[in-house]
This record gives sequence, structure tokens and C-alpha cells, in this order.
Amino acid sequence: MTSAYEELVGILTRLHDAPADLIRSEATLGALDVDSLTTVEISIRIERDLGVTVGDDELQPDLTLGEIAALIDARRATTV
Amino acid sequence: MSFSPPQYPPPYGPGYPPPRPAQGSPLKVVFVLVSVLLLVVALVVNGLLFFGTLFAGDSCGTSAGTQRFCDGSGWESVAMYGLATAAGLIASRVAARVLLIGADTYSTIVDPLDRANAVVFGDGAGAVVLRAGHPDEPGAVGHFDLGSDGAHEDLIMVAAGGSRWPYADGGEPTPAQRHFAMRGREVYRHAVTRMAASARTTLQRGGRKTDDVDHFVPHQANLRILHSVADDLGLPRERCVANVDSVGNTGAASIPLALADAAARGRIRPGDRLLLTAFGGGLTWGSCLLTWPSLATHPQSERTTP
Repeated sequence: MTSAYEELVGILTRLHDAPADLIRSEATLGALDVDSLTTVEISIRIERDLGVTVGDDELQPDLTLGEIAALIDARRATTV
Repeated sequence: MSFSPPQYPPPYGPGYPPPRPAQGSPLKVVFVLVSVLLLVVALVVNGLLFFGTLFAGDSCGTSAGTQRFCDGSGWESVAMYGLATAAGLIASRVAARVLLIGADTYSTIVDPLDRANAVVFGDGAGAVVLRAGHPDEPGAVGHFDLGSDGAHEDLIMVAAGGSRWPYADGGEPTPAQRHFAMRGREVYRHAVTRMAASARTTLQRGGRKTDDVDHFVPHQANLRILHSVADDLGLPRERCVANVDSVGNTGAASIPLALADAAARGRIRPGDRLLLTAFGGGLTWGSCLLTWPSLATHPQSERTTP
């Protein structure tokens, strides 16, 4: 089974051209230069593709990819 | 009992005409109005010439019977609604041919210092001639989907635009209220979800699948929105027609200009199956299916943008 982190990276790489070596679990959205509309798009795709709701207002620049993946897992656990 | 016609002109009471705002001399108002009018005329003429090469002579065909016509883009979806109206006029035999013009002059409502919007929007105009035709001829227009949600009118608006801010309601609006305003993040989310849903509904009504679409021509709002909708529909991004990079978001002219651009480049050919999807202020949205008409097209001789 694909982990939430891998799914998140899959979504991000389809939207954003950040170098692959910078996409790490501890990288923040701000460090990856993810802008506000991309944040909205990530939120839409998490809902559309992964079936859990993570609002774009929750995806703050200081949040790491690992933390977002943990958020997705936590939401999944509460929705199942 | 005899009928007495109402008095004409009607007996206006005290307080008519209503007082005009003190700011701005009448001459200035007239000058601004004339300037705006000239600009619109220039743009429309420009747009007509632009589309004249594309729709020379016969125009996009539409059939009278069960088929309808479409084009469009709230502001941005106005052309889509206009197209549905024009198609209805033809289908009901009220009109044999309809000239439909989509034009927007964002430069008159966008604050040039508002970086978020000023760099996104452009002025533009496009036109199309509609006529009665057959469902199986190139140019036939298929099914429509039109929708709106007035609960979100404040997401894209000019607060003191049109008749929304009558003088009688108190005072002169501020410059900010006279300018175009958009809540980008919320608009983005609505645009992506509404456009994808509208496109799906239209395909379903037409008995078509995503694979049946040769070209997806969305309202040119933002490349990321276009790609997001295409991805959601399962359409390869290559089938998404985009010229937002060269002309920006031109509102009601957006889809017509994208079509003209793609046709001039030879990317769209007669008989190709198109899905058009618009989204804009209101909120409003709409989609339609059509096949590209057989028209004498001429390559664009000169681009005015890089």
C-alpha cells in the first residue's frame, strides 16, 4: 500500500517543479517555494485523490511534507 | 368604463431629476464615457477582424432542431450564456443568423497598482456568427450545461459596478469599490470543481466520453486551473487549448480568442470534437460540445504579443 507521504509527493511533483532532491519528509512548503494557489491545488487534490479533507488554510508554509502526511493519516483514521 | 392612457411624459414629482454627485464636472464624465465607448468599439472591431478570418463567410454552424450553439467564457461566462440564448433564438426561428460578440475591458476596472489582478487580466474581444444547420455537419453544436450560484457573488465583483451602487444609496464609492476585486484562493477552488463538474455533465448529456474529446477549451483563467480540470477529467494536458500565457484572462473573449488562436495555428481542424467550459463571476459556469466548422482559415499574419 502506498503511504500517505508517497501519495503526497506524487501530488506535489505533478504540480510543482521543485528539484527531486529537495523533496524530503522534513522539507517545508515554504522551503519548496510552494505558493498560495498551489497550496489550494494540493488541498483540492488531497480531497479528490485521497478522499480526506485538508483545508488550504491548514497547509501553512512552515508545515513539513512529513507533517502533512501525518495529518492525512490522522484524518483517514477518523473517517474510516 | 373608458380607458384613459397614462399621461406622457409622466408627472415627475419633487426631487426629480435626482441630484448628481458633486465630484467631477459633466464634461469629464462625458469624456470618460466617450473614451470607454471608443475603446470598446475599437476592441470589438479588432475582435471582429480577428475572428473574421476564422469565421469568414459561413460561420460556425448550428442546427435549428435539437442542436444548439455555444461559446463562452462571468463576466467570463457571459458569452456562454449569450451563446445559449442565441442558439435558442435560432432554434425557435426568431432569428436566422446571430452575431454574438464577447468583449471585456478589464483595463477600465482593474486597479493598475493591484499586482495580483493587474498582471492577470487583459482586454479582448471575439465574435462568432451562428446560423441554422444540421446536427451532422461540422460546426454543429451539441449539448449544453449552464449553472450559477449567487451565494458567492462577492468572490468576484466590482462593489460599485453597474447598478449595484445607485447614487441614491449614499455617497460616492471609494476607488477600491470601483475596482475589480477577486478572492483568489476561494475562486480557484470553485473554478476547478465547477468547471470539472460542468464538463462531466455536458459529456454525459451528449452521451460522450472523455476520449471523444479532441480538444478541451476552457476559460483561460490560469494555466494551473486548466491543468487541474484536465487532470480531473482524465484528459491529457496536451488536449487542453491554452493561450493564457500570451493574452492573459480576457473574460468573455477568453474562449473565442483561444479558439481563434488554435485555429490559426492549425491545431484545430474541421470536424474535430471540442468541449468548451467557462467559469466566472456570479458565480456562473457553463459548458458545451461542438464540432469545429469547415471554414476558410488563414494563418495569423502577425501576433501583437511575443
